[in-house]
Parts: sequence; C-alpha cells; structure tokens
Amino acid sequence: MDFLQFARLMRDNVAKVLIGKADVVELLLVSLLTEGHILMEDVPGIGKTTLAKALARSLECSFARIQFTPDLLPSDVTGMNFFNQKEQAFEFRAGPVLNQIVLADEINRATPRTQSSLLEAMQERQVTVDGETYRLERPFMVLATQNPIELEGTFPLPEAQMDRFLMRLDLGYPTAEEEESILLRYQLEDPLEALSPVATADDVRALQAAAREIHVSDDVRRYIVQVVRATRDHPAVDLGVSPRGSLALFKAGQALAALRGRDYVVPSDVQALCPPILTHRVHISPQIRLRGRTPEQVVAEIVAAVPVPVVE
Amino acid sequence: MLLADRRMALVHLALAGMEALWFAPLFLLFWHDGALSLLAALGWLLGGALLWTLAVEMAGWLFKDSPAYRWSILGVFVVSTLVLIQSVVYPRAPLGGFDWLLMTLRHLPLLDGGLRPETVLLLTNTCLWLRASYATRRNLTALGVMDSFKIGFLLLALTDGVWSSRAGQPTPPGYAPLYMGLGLVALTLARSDERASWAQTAGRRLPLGRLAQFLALVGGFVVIAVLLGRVLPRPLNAVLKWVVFALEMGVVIFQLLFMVMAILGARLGQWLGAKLGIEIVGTESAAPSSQQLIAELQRRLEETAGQNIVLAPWAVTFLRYLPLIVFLTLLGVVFWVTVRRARRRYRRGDAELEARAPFTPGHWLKRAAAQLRDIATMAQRFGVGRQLLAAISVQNIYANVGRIAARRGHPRPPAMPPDVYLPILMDVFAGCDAALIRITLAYMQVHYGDHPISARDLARLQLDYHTIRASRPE
Repeated sequence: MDFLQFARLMRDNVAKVLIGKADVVELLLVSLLTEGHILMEDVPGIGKTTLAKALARSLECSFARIQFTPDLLPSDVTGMNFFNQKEQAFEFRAGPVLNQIVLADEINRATPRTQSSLLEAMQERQVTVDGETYRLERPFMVLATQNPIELEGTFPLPEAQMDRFLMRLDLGYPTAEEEESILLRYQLEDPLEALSPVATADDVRALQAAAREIHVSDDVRRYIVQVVRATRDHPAVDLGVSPRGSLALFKAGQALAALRGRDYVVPSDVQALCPPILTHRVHISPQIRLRGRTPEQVVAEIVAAVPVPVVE
Repeated sequence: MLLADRRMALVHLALAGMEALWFAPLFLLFWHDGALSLLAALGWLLGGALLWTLAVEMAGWLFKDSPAYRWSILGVFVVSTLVLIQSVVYPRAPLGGFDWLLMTLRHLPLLDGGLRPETVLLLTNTCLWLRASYATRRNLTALGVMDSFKIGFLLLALTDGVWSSRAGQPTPPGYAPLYMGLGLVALTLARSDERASWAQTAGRRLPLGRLAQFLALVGGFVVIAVLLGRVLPRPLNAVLKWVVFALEMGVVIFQLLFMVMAILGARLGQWLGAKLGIEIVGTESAAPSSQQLIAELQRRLEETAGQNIVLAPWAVTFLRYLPLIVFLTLLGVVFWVTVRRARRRYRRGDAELEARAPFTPGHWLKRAAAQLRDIATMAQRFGVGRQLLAAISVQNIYANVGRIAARRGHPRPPAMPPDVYLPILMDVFAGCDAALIRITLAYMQVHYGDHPISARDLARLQLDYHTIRASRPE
C-alpha cells in the first residue's frame, strides 16, 4: 500500500462517520505515521470519541477508552498484578494503555500522578509494573481530550507534559450543511458499527518506516530550525519551542509530504504544521495573555515573519 | 511623559538634566553676569525644564491632538520671540508701542553687513523651542533620544567653549561626563521602553543585580571619561590643529564654490531675462526691439541717478540673492519631483524590491557568497555536469518569473512559499496557468526535492518562460 492510497482509503472511511473534517483527519494520519500522540481540546459532543473509534476501526487495531476522573489510579491505566488464588501466583492484568489506539477522555480531570503514568507510556512506549516491563504494540497512539471550558476540579497539564503531544487539534463545530448531513447519516443506524478496516497494523508500520525516508533538503531543514528558534526569540514568548518540537515538525513534515504524494518536503508543509505542532509548545507571558493575544496569533506572526528559502 | 509611566518619567528627567547642562553656561553669561553659581543655575534650569515638560504634558492632555494645541504652541513661540527681542535689543522702548516692532520687521530680512541681533535672537529662540519640543515630545523613541543626545552634546561643546572664553575658566571636570552619563541612562531606558512596547508589556521592575550592573556600567563610563579628560587634551590638541587647518581649507573651497554658483546663477538670470524679453515683446516689427528696450532702461537709470533716487535696501538685497533663490528653487523642484516619483514607485510595490536589493557593497558581497554556496551545494547534489546546469536554469527561470511579477506590482512576500504564491502568479500572468504550474512544480522538485530535470523538460520550461514573459500585464 502506498501513501496516497492509504490516505484516500482512511479519509473516505473516517468520513463515513465524521463529516467535513478532512483537514483534521489528514493531521491525524500525519500523527499516526510520525508515531505521535494527539491532544484534542474542544467542547463536548463534536465527535472526538467518534473520531478515535473510527480511526481504530479503520486500522484493525485494538482500541480502549479511559475516562479520566479525579479518583483514577495509575494502576487503572497501566494494569496491575493480582493474586490468582486458584493458580497460587501473581498474574498481570493489562490496563487499557496496552491497547494500540487509546482514547484518554478528559485527561485533565485525573491527578498529575495518574496523568504522568500515561505520559510515561506515551514517551517510552512501554509500561513497567512491579519491576516488569511490558512493551506496547505498535502502532501505538494516544488521543487525549480536554474540555477548555469547564476548568473547575481539573489538573491542567504542565508545559513539559504538553510537549509530549505531537499536536493539539481543535475539531470545531460543523457547518450547517455538515450538521444536516450528520443527522441524515445517523437517522437509521450508527455508521460506526458498520465501519470495516481498510489497513492493517503491518501496513501502518511499513508506512511509518517509509515516511522516514522522505527527503528534507538542507534549506527546508534550516527553515524548520529558524521557525523554531524564532519562537524562542519572540518578545511575547516566555518559553519557546524545545528541540523536541523541531524534531516533531521535521518528522511531521515528512509524513505530510508523503500523504500529499511527494517524496520531498516543501516549506508550505512546514507552515501548515506549525499551528497544530507549535501552538501548545509556546508559552506566552501572562501580560501578553491579559492583553488578549493568544499563542495561535504569536505562531501565525512567526510563520509570517520567517523568510522561506526561495531563490531570488 | 512625567506623569504617565515611571520609565518614561526617568527618561524625561534625564533629558531635562541634559538640557540644563548644555544651557547653563549661556544662562550664566548672558542673564546673570556670574552672580549665580553654576550649580544653582543648573538647579534652576532643571526645575524649569521639568516644569516645561509638565506643562507640555498637561497641554497635550487638555488639547489632545486638536489644531488648537499646535496653534497655541506657535503663538507662545511668536510671543516669546517678540518679548526676547524687545527685552534684549530695545529694552527702553515701551512694550505696548509698535515702533520697535516695525524696526524689527524691517531689520529681519536684511542680510547685508552680517546678521542683525533680531535675526540672531529669532534663530536662537527657534533652536531652543525645537530642542524643547524634541526633548518633550509625547512619542519619544530611542532614536529620538539618541538625536537629542547627539545634538545636545554639540551644543554642550559650543556653550562650554563660549563659557571658557568669556568667563576665563573652564567648566568643572565632570561636566561633560555627567552629560554623557545622563544621556546613556536616557538612551538605555528609552530602548528598554521601546522593546517593552514591541512586546506589548508594561515592563517590570529591574532586578537589583541588573540595576547594579547597569549603574556600574554608566558610572564606569563616566569615570573613564573623566580620567581620559585629564590625559587626552595634549594629544587631542595636536590632532585638532590639523582638523582646524582642514576646516579652514574647507571653508575656502566652499566660498569658491559659492562664488561660482552665484556667478552662474546671475548669468542664468540674465539669459532668462533676455529670453523672456523677446517673448513678451513678440514680433520685432510690432514693438521696440530688445536693444531699444535696454537703451530706454539705461536712459531712465541715468535720469534716476541724476535725481539721486536709490533703491530700497530690501530690494538691493533681494536682487543680490535672486540668482541664489532661483537656484535653490530649482533644486527644491527637482527634489520634490524625485520624492513624488519615489512615492509613486513605492505605491506600485517597487519599494519592496528596492528594499530587498539595497545597493550596498556588503549586501552584494553577501549575496554573491550565498549564490556561490548554493551552487556548491547543488554541485554536491547534482554533480558537475549537465544536471547541475539544468538545475541552475530551472532556478533562474523561477527567479526571473518572480522578478517580472514583482515589476508588475505583485512581489512575493518573503515568508510565502512558492506553491502559495502560485495563485498570485496566475492572476498576474493571466492565461499562463499551465506554464506557471509547470515552472513552480519543477522549481520545487529541483530546490526542495533534489530531483534531476531532463533536457526535454528544461526545453519545455524555457518555452513556458518565454510565453510568460511575452504575456501582457492585466
């Protein structure tokens, strides 16, 4: 399976249940090919869970959903050893994180200790319980959601943990036409039930390996570095993007170029990826925030200011 | 300003101190005859400058940006000039009388025989008011403070010199370094304020360590300046002798040039007069010839000379400077036309092109170095041969298309990638969509993808380029 075929099949399949979000699906696929995780920050009821389930079903991968609550324990995420009285031995009962596609719903409702147990799994792609390490099967992807409106009783993710997510996405409300199509589509049955896989986990692993071969020219590589460095020098920014951010931009650029049918990355790929990849990594000062400026605006300013490598 | 922001209040305080420092020697010499000590004069002037700043600030708040504010400032300037002239040049004339005013108005345009006291006072007051408005302007920038600092330093040197020659003693040793210290403080704070306003922050209190570092730097600079002031005068005098010689030579050359210009201007005036005379007279048969007119003029002049009638002094002065005025007017016209053309070019977007390619040797060297580096990188990718030449050709084709589009008023913004620029190019070169797509795609493949280009494709691209170049602008 090649990239274009994979992109088309996935887009069409997910579009059966989630209408009018082609750009979000494209970014989701970029994240999948880059082995990154996604933080979806939006109001309830706009299809975050549906999107995660549709992705899992389209890929023939295992799926689990964790509803994060304040009383959730790390062992509820990672799994635990319990004593089997019949066998007179400890047995490992795997937690939901050992699935391939994990939906961490309302991640900011759990305590930092529980959050960090998931974030460790995201970074290391392994879970250690009672001294024993369990490798997570690839592809492994976490789709975390958080509600930006209800902040009471939540534990906001610290900057260091936000950095673990490749992208932050906003789904946004559908348009009137799209909403009408949703009503029609869901009138008789739930299309999610009828969704069948279009790619296997092996296909995804092969494409992940192939995406790393996409060519990134010296100029484009330098451009990525310039954009990232500009976030550190911007006067409105307290904490700029880390080298992990530039690596994320680099890899995501390769995946996006591949999904768009190119074997090389162009500056517009990088520019398209800057908002979802850089915005949650940029920490603007409180004074700037009080003046109504947002990280999205700052990132847009930076992208509009850094010259693109083009021969004059 | 003083009441608005702590940082700007400090800047204005430092500026007031600088103004007081350069003006104090003049103040002592001409207004108090040495009855006041230098320190006391500085105190009075500092207070006056701060009061003035405060008054301007209050006036700004009251009048906002209405024309009344500007008219009131102009009125204060005119009144203060007249009061100054009356009190210095005509101290015994009653203030309400108009005789001294008429005399002043009569003397102001007279330039022969050196500058009149009224003119000197007018120029001095203008200079003082400009300084005052500059140092108390509401939108003070770091560049403005720098200008204020530089001009103030020149004035300080001037008034210091006047004081030394008239009072017979130099100003205290730390006088100039104190001015420089204040200037550095004002400049640093103005720069900090500028940076903070770019970031749209209100700023925060300087940490004690940084404050100490800053004060130590300013203090160190002042101490070094004082020490150098003790060591440098002798070698400096040796250098200054040569500078004075060079200046004298410059003045002589300038005088010669001025004379040549005046002669040429006079000749030009005569020639124009002769030309205009013929045109006004029209046909030779219908009116007296120019020779007849000149003879008539000579006869009348002789008659008037016999009657001992002399032209008014202002008329003589005016006639003397007429060629120069004509010359300066012509220069002004040329300047105005140039500025207008430049503005028109700017509106068309050419200014952006010019800004991108400034005619400085450093820029050209950098650009040449960058091009060499690009070619070396391409040689690594494509090898030295036909592929390299083809790649360079593709890049040149794309660059040329971009230049033509820029000349037609649609330059590519520096942060816009080629594929995003493509729709703009399609608008500029209507009907060349397919050619533009091919060129942009080939450029991206070569530049970002390191793809080789075949001879056939290159020939096709060259044809496309010729089509685009031949297309008429919309």
